[in-house]
Amino acid sequence: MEFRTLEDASLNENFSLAAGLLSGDVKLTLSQTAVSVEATDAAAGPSYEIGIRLEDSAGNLHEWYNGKVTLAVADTSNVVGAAMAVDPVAGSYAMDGGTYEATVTLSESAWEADDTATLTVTATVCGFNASATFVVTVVADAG
Amino acid sequence: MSMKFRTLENAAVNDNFGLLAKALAGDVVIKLSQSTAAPTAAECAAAAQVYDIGIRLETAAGELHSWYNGKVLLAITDDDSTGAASIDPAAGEISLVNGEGSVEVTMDKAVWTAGKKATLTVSKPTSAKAPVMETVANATFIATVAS
Repeated sequence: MEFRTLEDASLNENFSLAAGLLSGDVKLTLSQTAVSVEATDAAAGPSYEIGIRLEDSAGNLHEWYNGKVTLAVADTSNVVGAAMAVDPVAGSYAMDGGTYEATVTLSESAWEADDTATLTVTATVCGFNASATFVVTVVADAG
Repeated sequence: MSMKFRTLENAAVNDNFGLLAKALAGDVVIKLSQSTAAPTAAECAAAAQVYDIGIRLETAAGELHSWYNGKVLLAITDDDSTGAASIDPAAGEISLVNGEGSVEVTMDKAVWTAGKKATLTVSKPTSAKAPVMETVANATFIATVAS
């Protein structure tokens, strides 16, 4: 028995995606991974929409995947009340065709330069742990 | 509702499902082209001993998991006080291509002591994990110096 290249290109694509998964060729990608925001702008409570995709290393979408993705937020600020919120709230959600969207928002607080707030996205696919982060870094106001 | 795994009309499709099903069931073996060698101490002292080791990911029945393009982990050790063993590519994770790869093991030109060993270990990846590799057994190539 051998692994065949079939006449039906669609079947080959499906087998290729499955083989990639079993080979551990799985990663989470986010539509953006880092952004800097000045302290004054951070105090206004900016929001960022984050697109999430489960892909292989070549960027092909694992469109068959409707399993869970987990959202978590954290920050390094010492400012009371400063926090990152995520919508939907932190927890696990079913992806839709290998994709998901979340929105993170900084609290309207007196964020300080060098504070960071991080969205961490994780998924366990067939025993393989994939993760990605989106990090907001507060910088001092220019001028 | 029950669901069973169907045998389809297209034999090639069945073959592909068959190999993936075997992998999912844990029928995955790391096979090396050579598992032992016995260079003499005199040979080691005269010249470096080099072994080209082929790596295949197979089923227990010897079918090549040619769909696999993931990683395996290479490691090399020796227990000699003067001779040293090395591998090319260097120790770490390498990608198999269509289920196959290779590594070159070298015992350097030195005064190796009879009974000492150079051991290549090929095992599951630890950072770039692959689901079907989690239960696979290590494979070794051991070159033992003969007197």
